[in-house]
Amino acid sequence: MPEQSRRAQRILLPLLNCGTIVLLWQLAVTERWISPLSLAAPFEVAKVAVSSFRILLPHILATTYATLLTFVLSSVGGMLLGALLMHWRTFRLAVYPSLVMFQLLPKIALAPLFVVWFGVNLFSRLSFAGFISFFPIVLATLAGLRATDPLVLRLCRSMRASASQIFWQVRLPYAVPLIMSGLKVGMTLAITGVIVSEFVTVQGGLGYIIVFASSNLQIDLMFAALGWVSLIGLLFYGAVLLLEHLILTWLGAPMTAGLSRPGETG
Amino acid sequence: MSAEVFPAPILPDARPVDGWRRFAGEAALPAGFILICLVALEILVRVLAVPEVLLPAPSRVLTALVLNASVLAYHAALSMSQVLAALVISLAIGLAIAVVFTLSRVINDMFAPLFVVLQIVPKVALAPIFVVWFGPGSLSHLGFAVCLSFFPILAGARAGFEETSADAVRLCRALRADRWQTLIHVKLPMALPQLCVGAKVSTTLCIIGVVLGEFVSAKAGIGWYIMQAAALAQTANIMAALIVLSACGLLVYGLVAAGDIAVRRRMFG
Amino acid sequence: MSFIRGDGLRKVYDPGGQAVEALHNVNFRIDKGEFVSILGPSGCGKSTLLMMCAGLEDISDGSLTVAEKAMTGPRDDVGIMFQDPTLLPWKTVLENVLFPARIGRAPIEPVRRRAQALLSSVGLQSFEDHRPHQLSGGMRQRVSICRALVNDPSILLMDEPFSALDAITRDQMNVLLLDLWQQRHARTALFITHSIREAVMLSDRILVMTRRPATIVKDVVVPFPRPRSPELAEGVEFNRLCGHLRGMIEDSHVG
Repeated sequence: MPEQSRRAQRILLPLLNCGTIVLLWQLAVTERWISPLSLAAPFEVAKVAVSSFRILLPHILATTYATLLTFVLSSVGGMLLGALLMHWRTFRLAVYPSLVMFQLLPKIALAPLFVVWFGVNLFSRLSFAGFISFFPIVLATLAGLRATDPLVLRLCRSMRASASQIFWQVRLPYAVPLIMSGLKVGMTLAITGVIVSEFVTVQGGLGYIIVFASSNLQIDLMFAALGWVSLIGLLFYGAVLLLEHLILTWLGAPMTAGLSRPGETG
Repeated sequence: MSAEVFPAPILPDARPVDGWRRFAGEAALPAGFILICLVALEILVRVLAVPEVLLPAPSRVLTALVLNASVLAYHAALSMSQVLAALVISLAIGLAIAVVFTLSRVINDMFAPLFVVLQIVPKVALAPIFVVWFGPGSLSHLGFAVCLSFFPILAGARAGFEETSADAVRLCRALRADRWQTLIHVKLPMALPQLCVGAKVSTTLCIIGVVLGEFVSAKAGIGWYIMQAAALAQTANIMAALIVLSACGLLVYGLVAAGDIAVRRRMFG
Repeated sequence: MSFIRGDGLRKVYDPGGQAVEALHNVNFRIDKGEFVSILGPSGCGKSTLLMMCAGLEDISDGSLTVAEKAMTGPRDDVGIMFQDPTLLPWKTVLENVLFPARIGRAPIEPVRRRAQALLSSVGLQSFEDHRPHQLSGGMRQRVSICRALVNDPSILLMDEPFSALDAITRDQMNVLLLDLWQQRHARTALFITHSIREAVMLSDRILVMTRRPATIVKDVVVPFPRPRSPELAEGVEFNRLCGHLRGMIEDSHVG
């Protein structure tokens, strides 16, 4: 049946492709087609990743810890601020335009400023990463809370529901898809922010290792650190996806907005 | 299912003068608020004698801006030219890959998951690698910026190609159009709106890529300027540079947005 | 001599392992120059049959021949109209009508004259340079008719082209189609609809189709002479035939 063979094709081809690429990559470096100073052979990288694990471990933990803390703080803070903006009109009118303006600024460029302000330490890294990842969460929460179906709101008013009831039982569930997509962006920005601040503070963490390794031309160490960074990024993003799945299962509603995952065309 | 393939674009039918007047009216409130904030900040900083390293008074920032205008302009121009170059290259690469994916199902199945996986790598971490590959010059910034920013274009173009209305594709099949004709006549024009969305996202990433590349290693450019000012704890200069950067970023983004509108007008009338 | 002929046609869809039989043992004959309607409720597979005749759907079983040749894929001499006009929004009305010629890489000038004549005959001669979004639904379907006819096809396939229009516009389109059709008699047409009145007004023969798995249960000849005019729809004979068909459809769908 053509359908089954197409499915097989879709799984086998990328795997085959992956395998071929890894092999070619290994060969390219071993045979010196590409200088080992540019690209580390995958098997070398794997070896180094294992052998230098002891040395890398504190840095892995540092980056993971920083990312986790950043994400928790910016998501909680961001959602709270979003909720506050939703319900306090004066505050919103005053602050919202500045928020939007801030979004126009390439916030990454502020990294050195945070070092000037807070020095070379964990706090400065956390505040920078938190600052970057906080904005999309606030804006997404605000958008989500305002996205409630106006007809449902009218129904609530006709039943004389209190503001608190409306918020917890109607607005928040409707806001879940948008808040979730904001959290995903915030997650990505949290790890981005941590890495960039580690580049700039060159004190510790995997970002520091990457810069350190690059200046010593230790390419295999560099790629090993990159691998760890990707793994951390993957784990955290997966955690957010899991959270999304759990919340949606609990809500039991097939909400579709903002749910597309990479690879799915929905 | 709408009766036409796209909803009609909303074109303003007010005269341009009325539009400007309305815009000025709406911008007045937040602009006024910002002005008030700046004045309040000025007063606060002077009264509380906040150290300039922490928070320079707006007047100091303005002075720094004016004094260093030519230097800032030079570095900003350098960085922005790299941003524009990166944008053009990303557009070319992203579009080319999307076209290849659309024309060949086999290549699409082989390589598309690879791009999905690549999305998982926090690409900012790759900045030093580009320095290793291309040396500490502007080529490494360019390469890094392209690496960051061609994904949204690829995603936008692919989404645009996929979303081509099934009826239009069926029409092409009924007319026995070959893959290339379907692409040129139908899929490409139809993908333009999504492509423009991707281009806007890509612009932001190009700016981030160039600035970040300059943080990691550079001898010139606005990112380098900020790093230098930071090393000397010259906060006012940093802020002046940030203002210039934001302005330039807005300019480039505005250019891309204008391009988007121009394309839509030309295509859909 | 049948021009389009289907024998024991069968179509099975297999979405995710669950075989769904859309068409089961469909047999029909259409002669050259005949206008045949397929009448049946929504979702019964009428469109599938039309798509098979257009070469856009594979045949699971049975045979379909056009002009004595087996149907393997889209053909040059077929003009097709969908329910959605499917006009390309960035092309002008004239360019949309010329689209099949551009794809077929035919020399444009003779086709352009024909396109302009067609647009004129449907009353759109002053709209050649307009864009689709500037036209109403009925006007867009008129452009779609012109596009279907621009290559002077010997077969015209129409999949519920007027279902999305309001009742008044629909009646006007029926009249228009009748006019265009009656000008050139050598064309064979297959028309899908779920409107009994529309089918009786337009066709020489009506094939009544059942629900899934669909088959053709009745083949009714429409005896009214051509050229037909809209007043026909008010006549006794017309309404009697409509009632007769309605009864047939209800009978074949009970149970």
